[in-house]
Amino acid sequence: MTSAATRQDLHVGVAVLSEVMAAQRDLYRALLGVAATEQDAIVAGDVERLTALVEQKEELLDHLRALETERMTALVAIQMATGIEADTATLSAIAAHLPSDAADALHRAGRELRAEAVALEEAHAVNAQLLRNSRSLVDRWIHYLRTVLAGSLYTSEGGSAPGAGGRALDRSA
Amino acid sequence: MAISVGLNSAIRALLVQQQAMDAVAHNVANVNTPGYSRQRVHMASVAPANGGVGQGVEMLNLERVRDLFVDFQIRTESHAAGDYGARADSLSLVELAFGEPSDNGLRAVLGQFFNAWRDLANAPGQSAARSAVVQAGETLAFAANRLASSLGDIRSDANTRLSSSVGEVNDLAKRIAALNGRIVEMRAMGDPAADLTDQRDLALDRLAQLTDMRVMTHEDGHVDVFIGGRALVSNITANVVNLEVNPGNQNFFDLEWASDGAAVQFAAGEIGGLLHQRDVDIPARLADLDTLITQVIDDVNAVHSAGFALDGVTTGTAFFTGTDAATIGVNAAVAGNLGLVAAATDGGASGDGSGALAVADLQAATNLTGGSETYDAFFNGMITRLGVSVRDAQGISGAQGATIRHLEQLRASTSGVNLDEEMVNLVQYQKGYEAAARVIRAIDEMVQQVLQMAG
Repeated sequence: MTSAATRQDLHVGVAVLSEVMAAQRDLYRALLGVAATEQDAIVAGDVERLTALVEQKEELLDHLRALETERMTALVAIQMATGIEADTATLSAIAAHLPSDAADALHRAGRELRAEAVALEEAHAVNAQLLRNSRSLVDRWIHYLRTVLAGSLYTSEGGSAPGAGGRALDRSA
Repeated sequence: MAISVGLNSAIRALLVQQQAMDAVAHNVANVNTPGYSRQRVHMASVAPANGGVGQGVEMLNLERVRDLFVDFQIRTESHAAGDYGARADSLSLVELAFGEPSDNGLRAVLGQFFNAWRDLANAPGQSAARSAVVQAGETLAFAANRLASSLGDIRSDANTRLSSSVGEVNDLAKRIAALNGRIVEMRAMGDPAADLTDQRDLALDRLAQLTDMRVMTHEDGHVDVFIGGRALVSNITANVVNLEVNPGNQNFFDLEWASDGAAVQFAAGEIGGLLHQRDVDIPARLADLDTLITQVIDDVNAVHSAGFALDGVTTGTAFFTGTDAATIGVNAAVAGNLGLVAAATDGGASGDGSGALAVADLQAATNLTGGSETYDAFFNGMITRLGVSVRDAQGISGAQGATIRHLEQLRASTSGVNLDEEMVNLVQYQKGYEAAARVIRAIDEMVQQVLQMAG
């Protein structure tokens, strides 16, 4: 067991860590909501909405970074009290140093955080795949259009394709 | 959300995206196709099967981007453009035939004819002066004959163009009826039949130039087309416009409905314009010309018949034969015997040129338009009216053309395909996707660290 002072440090460190984990859980939940909307925007090809959502996610990412700093600070405090390396610390290892009720509370907070994190990961996996495929389609089209605009396409008879570039349109008309 | 549900949504979404890209491909391929309307895929989210999260996206419909009001305006303006275009074409030919002002035009020839009589009055006994009068008469007759013939040719040309235009109307009607059938079939199967509708719109646009038709669109996708209140196209049935030769109108064509032989009423459009030219406008010009030439014939003959030939005995000889511009000619007897030119008013008075002077004085007589106009003034009026008509027809035709070009630009801004614009859209997509993927990666890295801790 540790000394009373060390126990106090551990108690403070775990309390901060729990608060950080609760805040991270709330942020993941918010990100999950944004991810669902993001998926709609990707499949609808609504780039304007997608861009707005990306800005929203970047703001949440800044909060996430701030929380990560707080989490590492808490883990360093815990490391001082327990000797558990902050970089590789797990909740189980920390809980082993806590009374059972505190350990249960920490495990519960960890499960809640993990559930949100896994859901967010899954949503991101889907969105990332959608984005990769959409990007691939768009890349192919850009390549094709560049060829057309360069006027280097040939007709099936081997002749030059008719003047590309389309009509000059004034959509404000 | 289970990852399998998410991936199903993703696959569905990608299929829809592929369809959207196919629409872009179709747009690009048709960038130079006349009448082509841009197509756009509309998507909708799929409702969840048992509550919870949705199941991605599905293609709702393929929209043919088209402004029906602009279509209506273009077709309405096309009626007048076709009408005045045909009028301007024919009237320009009429103006060309008259060729005024010029040294060889009818006015100049008429002036030379009376000048020849004035010269003869000064030297009634000279055969050269008599010959000049006959030659000037023949030149005048030739100019009038040529003009009448040219106007007749222009009417015949309008009649020929009419038969060709009516043939085109019948072809278009058949095409529209056939397209009606296919469009209704495809729409019943859930296909919007966008390309077929474009083809039909193109046919309707051309029909609007040719005729003053009206279009009625029905909910199942078919259109009915009416001309003069009668159906040219009714769903999948095309009525036919027949050309019937009318012996009472110089064997020109009358236009009749094949179904019951009733006359087809074309009030505007190219066909309306051609009919107006053939049956109203050019005949009116010809009537004016006939009025002038008939008056010249009657007046000259009246004075000439009262005069005496070179022998001082022979009288009562007409100088001109014929009754109008098409038939006017110098009396063959006079042309064959210059002595029969009646230059004198006194029988037996050798050297009398008063008859010739009386003919020359007809130039200043006001025998036309109820005794108010000379030949020259009347002819001036004719040419002025013609010039105003040509200018009006060309002006209206040009203005209609400009209006239609503006409307077509409006239509192109809605329906047209622009490769540069498609390219800009795609690059925006590319950048948007890149940014979204980058943020996802950054968040995932942070989540990984937390998951590592949470065990």
